[in-house]
Amino acid sequence: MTQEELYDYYDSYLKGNLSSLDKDNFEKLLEEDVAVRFEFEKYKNAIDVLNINAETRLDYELGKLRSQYPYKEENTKRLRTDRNLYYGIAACLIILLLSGPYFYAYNNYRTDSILNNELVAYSNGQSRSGSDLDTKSAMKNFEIGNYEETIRILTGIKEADLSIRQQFILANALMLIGDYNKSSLYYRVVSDAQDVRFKEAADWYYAIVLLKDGQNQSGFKQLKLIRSDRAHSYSARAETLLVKFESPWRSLPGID
Amino acid sequence: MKRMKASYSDEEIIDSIRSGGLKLEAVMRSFYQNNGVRGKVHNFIKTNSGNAQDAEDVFQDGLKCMIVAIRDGSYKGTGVLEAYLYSTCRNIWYKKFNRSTRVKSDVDSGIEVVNENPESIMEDRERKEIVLKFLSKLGPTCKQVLELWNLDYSMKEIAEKMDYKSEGMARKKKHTCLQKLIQSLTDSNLKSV
Repeated sequence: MTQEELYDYYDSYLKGNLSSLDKDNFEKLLEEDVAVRFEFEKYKNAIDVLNINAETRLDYELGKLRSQYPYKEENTKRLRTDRNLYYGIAACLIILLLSGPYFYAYNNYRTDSILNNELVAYSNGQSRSGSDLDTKSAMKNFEIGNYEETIRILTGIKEADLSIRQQFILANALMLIGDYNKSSLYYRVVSDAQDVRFKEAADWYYAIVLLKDGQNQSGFKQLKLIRSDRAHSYSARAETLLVKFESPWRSLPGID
Repeated sequence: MKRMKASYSDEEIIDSIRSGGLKLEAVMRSFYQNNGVRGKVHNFIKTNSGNAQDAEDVFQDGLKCMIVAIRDGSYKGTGVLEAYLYSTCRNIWYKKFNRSTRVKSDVDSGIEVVNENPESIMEDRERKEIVLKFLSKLGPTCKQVLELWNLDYSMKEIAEKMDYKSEGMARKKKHTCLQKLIQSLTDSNLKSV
């Protein structure tokens, strides 16, 4: 049997296309012959890799079709658009009528300077104070995987005004775009803040981003800290990770 | 522009998805050309606080889930397929939407979402990145040949897609590429991804 025929045979086995007799014989051979088992495992590993990639490929193909055949709205769209236009005109007229008295007594209503200051502060970003709305907006973007926008919203808030929750979301978003260094700074702050809602998760991710950032010594220390606290909900996970790192087969640079 | 078959029965759709290759391609195209389920998903998402972009994302995810379920055998084949796709899309949207409403309504529950997400997202992404790295090492032609073969394109279809002179040539190329992938994985000592 050539290697190509052998691969076809493996493929038939994995797809369940062998007769029951052939299947039994092959399984017996796998049990008895280490070399065959080893070769088959190598083949299966390659197929696993291709299967993981299949979803990415499907996504790519579906994305192509999606742009090739853009969704066309039904005829109701036109009616809706017209209705929206009428509502818009009506709303403008109402605003004009209501704002009349304001323009009439303009000098008595100098609230615009206050409003302008707020707007300048908002557009400058850094001097803006954090709000619940920002958290919701950041969270919504985070949920749909728009991490850059999450970061843009939260870094637009004055550092001192960032709540612990906002800093935690920011740290997560930074981690997910691969800015491990910055992410570690925020996780540290959240961890130190001792807020029970975020403390343990922040401890854990702090260790993860330190390791990702190549700060292996500090990451390792942080993991040990988590492991030592048996009540910590990430203690077991820290233990598992430490066992991996402490294995003589896998050493991390910078760890004694 | 390729024309779709007027309509497919559920059995034909399932068979085509299982067969893979050009049959799978034709079925996927029909779902995009025909506004049936796609339109229903759009209406549903729009009446549930989403927009057209959300609807398209959810429809794509739903279609992908359905194809994967049919191909890996987890789809049990009870009920109408369109209804299955529609309810898959609805579930995807509810999952996304409920998570954000939970965050809106309860600050503490938000932590669970934020807490669980990053790691699984990172693991999944890293796994896919590793796989992509290995496949990219083989070169774009090999990568595409193996991807097509994995989606059950026949050797004849691969030859046509890749402009090879014969099925035999496609077969030979697939074998060489598969050997290269196995060798690359063995060299890196990658046991599992």
